[in-house]
Amino acid sequence: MKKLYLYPIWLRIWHWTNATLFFIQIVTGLSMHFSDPKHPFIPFATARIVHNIAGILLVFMYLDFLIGNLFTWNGKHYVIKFKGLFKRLFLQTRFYVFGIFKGEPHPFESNENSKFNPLQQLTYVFVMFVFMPLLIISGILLLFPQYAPDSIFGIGGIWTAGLLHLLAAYFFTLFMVGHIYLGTTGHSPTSNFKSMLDGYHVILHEDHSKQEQQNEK
Amino acid sequence: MMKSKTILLSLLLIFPLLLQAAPSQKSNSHCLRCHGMQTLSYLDSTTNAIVSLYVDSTQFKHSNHSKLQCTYCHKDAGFLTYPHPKALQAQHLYCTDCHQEKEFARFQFKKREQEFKRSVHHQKLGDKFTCFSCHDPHQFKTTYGEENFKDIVRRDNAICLTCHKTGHQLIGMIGKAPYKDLLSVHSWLPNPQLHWKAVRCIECHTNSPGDLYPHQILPKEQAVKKCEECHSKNSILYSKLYRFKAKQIQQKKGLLQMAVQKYPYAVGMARNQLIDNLSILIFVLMLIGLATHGFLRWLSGRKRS
Repeated sequence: MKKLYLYPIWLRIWHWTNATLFFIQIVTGLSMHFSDPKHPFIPFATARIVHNIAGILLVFMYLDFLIGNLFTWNGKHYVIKFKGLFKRLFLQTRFYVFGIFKGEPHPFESNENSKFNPLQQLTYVFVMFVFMPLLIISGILLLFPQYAPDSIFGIGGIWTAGLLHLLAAYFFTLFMVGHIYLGTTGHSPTSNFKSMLDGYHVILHEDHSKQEQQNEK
Repeated sequence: MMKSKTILLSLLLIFPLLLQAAPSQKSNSHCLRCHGMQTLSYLDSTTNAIVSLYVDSTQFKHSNHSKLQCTYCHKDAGFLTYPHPKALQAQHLYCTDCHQEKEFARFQFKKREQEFKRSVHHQKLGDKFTCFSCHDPHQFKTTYGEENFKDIVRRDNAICLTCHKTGHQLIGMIGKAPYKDLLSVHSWLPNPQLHWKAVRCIECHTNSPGDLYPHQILPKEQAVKKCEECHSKNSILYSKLYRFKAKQIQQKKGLLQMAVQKYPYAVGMARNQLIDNLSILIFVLMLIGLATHGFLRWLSGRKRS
């Protein structure tokens, strides 16, 4: 058994703060979107204030993420190696569809050079560099609607922001559920959650690394 | 010779009559020679307020009443002479004086009058507050059909703001300015100025669902103050101005149409059933998929061990 320190303290604080804020955003956002005077979940006025404050904090969290990854070695995990990408994506998908049920080892064990498996890396890059900016920009437009352009793509500016924010929010809700479930696919159902608490990733079988190097090629 | 003398005598006899009948015959331009002056006003000795007698001729030409002679409404003989008798100042005109004919039935003037009498304005101010306190008949226009959404809101709110913005007019009516700054009164409302661009004052200050022109203005304590009343699927806005403007737009299908037409956007109200249902369906399918995957993992793990 080998322990690797893959998740530094700033990253773990960022991760759990982000998770809490996202949970708050989903609950308050849903409450406002499906608001009903007869069956209120959270009073609209309260939900609005909480959603706005948590939203602003999330923007700071995103800046923290950008700065953290720009100035530490952690940023390298977000650089996609396109050579052999499809093969690696196939191997990872195959693992989730078949291998995982046969007790096969993870095709891409986390290590100092590559924390994420190919599917995970691709998803995170899209989430952090496409969907997060989309969510933040549309959120800022909704927070300051007086500054929103009168028209975007031929429809009312705020409507575009509102629809994009809603679609991005639905996507993030799906992502969060998928993310939590895949968190249970470590060596034990709780091992990945422990890693994100103490910062250490546990490698049970070191002989897997040879197989991984094979897969990387 | 005899004939020409007769004509001259006749003209001399008729001339004073011609002079007296001049206002009705010379039509509105005769009245506007004085009333078209912006400064024409007098000081009301009882209220100490300056009462304007100015009629904007350009606005009048574009109003619904533009084809009427001044004397059609101001029919008292005193209006035909100058100076007008002082007693005319006390004369009150009402919309329903004229608007009782069947051709005006769609405007429901009787209903409006009843609502108005129950409104906080009439209840508190009585006869000091008339239709014309809000609606200047010399400018009145019903052209909602083709108008831009924001213009309707701006124009209708301007009626309320005439008195409620500064309170100057009200000083003449009730002797004091009753309001603090409107912004501070509405400080509970997030971004009040943006709200005022999107909804009319009467959307919240009346309670007449299904009515585009509600006239029973409620006391401020009864105004809508719950966000959910507007920010929800069955928003009250859909039963007022939005209903009128969105006549052909179905709430469930017309989201994109409303977006294209640049309707005001409201969280909770701007909902599309298809997007919501599809998202919920994907979410449920994902949960089922993950639960199945998890169950199979557990089952295969048990078999292996």
